[in-house]
Amino acid sequence: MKTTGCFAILQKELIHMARDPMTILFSMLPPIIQVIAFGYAINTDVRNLTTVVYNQDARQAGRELIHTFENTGVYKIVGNVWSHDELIRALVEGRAVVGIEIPPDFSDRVHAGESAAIGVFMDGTNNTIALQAMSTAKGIGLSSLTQRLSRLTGEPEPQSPIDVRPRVLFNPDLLSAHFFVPGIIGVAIQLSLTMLVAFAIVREREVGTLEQLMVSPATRLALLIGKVIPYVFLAYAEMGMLILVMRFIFGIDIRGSAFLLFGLSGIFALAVIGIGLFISATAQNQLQATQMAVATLLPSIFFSGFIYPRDTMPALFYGVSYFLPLTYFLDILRGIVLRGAELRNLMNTVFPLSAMALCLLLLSVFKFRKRLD
Amino acid sequence: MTPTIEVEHLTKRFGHFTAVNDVTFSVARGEIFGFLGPNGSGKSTVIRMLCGLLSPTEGDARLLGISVRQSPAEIKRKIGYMSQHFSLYRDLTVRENIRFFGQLYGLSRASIQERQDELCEYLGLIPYLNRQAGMLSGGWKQRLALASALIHKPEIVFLDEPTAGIDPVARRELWNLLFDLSAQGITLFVTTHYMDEAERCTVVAYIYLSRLIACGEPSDLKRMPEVTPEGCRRIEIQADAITQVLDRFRSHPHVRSATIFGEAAHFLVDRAFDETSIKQYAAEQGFAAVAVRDIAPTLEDVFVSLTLAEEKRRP
Repeated sequence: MKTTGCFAILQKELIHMARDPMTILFSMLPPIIQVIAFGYAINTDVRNLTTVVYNQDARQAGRELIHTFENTGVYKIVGNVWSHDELIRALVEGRAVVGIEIPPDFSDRVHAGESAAIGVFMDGTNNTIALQAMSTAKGIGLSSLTQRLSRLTGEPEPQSPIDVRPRVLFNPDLLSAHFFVPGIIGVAIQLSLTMLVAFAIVREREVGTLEQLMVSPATRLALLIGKVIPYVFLAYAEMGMLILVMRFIFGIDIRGSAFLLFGLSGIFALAVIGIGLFISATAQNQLQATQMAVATLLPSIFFSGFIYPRDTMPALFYGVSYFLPLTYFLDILRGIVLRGAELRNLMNTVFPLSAMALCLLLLSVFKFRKRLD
Repeated sequence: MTPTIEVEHLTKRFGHFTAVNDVTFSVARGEIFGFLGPNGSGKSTVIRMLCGLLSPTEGDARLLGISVRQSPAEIKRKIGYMSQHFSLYRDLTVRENIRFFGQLYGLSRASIQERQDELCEYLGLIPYLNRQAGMLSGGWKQRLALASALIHKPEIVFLDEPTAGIDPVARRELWNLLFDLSAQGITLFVTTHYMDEAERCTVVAYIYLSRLIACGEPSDLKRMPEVTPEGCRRIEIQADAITQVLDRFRSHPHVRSATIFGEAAHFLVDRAFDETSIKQYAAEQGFAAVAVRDIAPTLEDVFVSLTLAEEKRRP
């Protein structure tokens, strides 16, 4: 394990970077834009669903009901329709995702103490939205029951036999940005770091300088280390900037230790560098390297739990997620940033991530060695 | 005196494919060894084995007495390598490139400086020290590549098509530098496709379909019996409309082979086809004023004949 020439290569790499600051800039900038764009764009908070109302009962009970719906904040009344067909048409045309139909005898039945049926129609194309609309609507039905009971008996609203008091920890306002922003940091780092590392070596192969390095006494290990160190620092710089964006644009504080976060990020960076090196040992040119980097990124995005929770995945993809460094890094990021997790809480992610980083690095060194023969 | 490079039964197989088959030759100190052969014949595989990049399947090579099989890493310190593509860093200046390779070979800062001064003075690179390598013209790029290959005072330098794609003046200058280095006792292992360059080498080896089919001084190779077979001779015919002459002569039963050489044509003919009968045949075909003279084979003739003979020998 000799590292002759490592320092020379490191120094040379720094000159490359200094001479071409645009490349570095353009590799740092997109992740920041990604974080900002995704942080705002990926929003699964269901609010202000466009709603049309077919109110055939213009009396007080009907109007009150509509207010109740509006007050949840989930529905936003955008207009009235005058027939059932028109209501359905509004959904088909996409003018509204929810349609509320109140029958003519609604007020009568409410006053008579009978059960009054209303129709709530929703566009199920987006299941998240439909689910949310449905559960809110059911909730309104349930609370109307307790209110009526209290009015009938003249007593305060009755207690449920089981008093469920949900309390949301860590993200009390249930903002999806809190879930996504730390995640995007992981994705952004993986994307830019794999590409930079893969390019750094594939470029040398394309130009022919790799051959020149190989006939020198510099060892392959030295070459890899010398090439990779600058990118580790770059990854840290990028991480720092992304955390500033998270803190000052999205107002998300790191609850846990920033020091720990940076330390564990290093392990992730090494794993991703391993992927980049592996690509560089395989790809013939920069185009292939780009394609491979994207090909490794896609499963990471879909199966790591970045967008969709891992627990809801089919067994196969759940299995895949175990082999993605991003899966573990997301746990670490969200754990430290949102839940204030400490090292001892993260052991079951730190171990597999470290093992994976080690395997990827060894694999790529091995592949690199074989490739040159 | 033991040879600087000693190659014995060197063989490299990739799976079922034999890239280099039982190659044996040796190179003495200070020689310019020209290594020729068509692309894909195994040339670069031999070089890669000699440089310690590839391990031989069978046989061995010793450079300065060090076996490539046993200590490839040790060999790397003793050799310089200049590839056919410009394989230095375009965005680094001349000085930075030289310094980088010096560091890569583990030289101290002081000895890099000393060697840099010496080489740049010698190669005329001093005015360009602060220029980025990508901005140099072809010939200067090659000088820089040579400087980088020589930074650690190697005793053997491999030059893989060093003159591919540079202008004739720069080509001649580079060769003058090579003669100079050879005079200093540095052994040069050169590959080229240019026959005039091959003629300048002390020793020439020709590899064809993974086998070494000729190795020797250019003058010795030209005297090989396979080159001018028994009962044959080589002649040059000069005439106007030389392509038509070539056409007509090709179909003559006494003509073995024919090629255009500028304004003239070279023929390999049976001895029986003497000057009188040649002129007579030319006149019959309607060509007047034909000049005929005997010539020695060129290296190109040598390689073409050897290739044809080898093709015939092998199924």
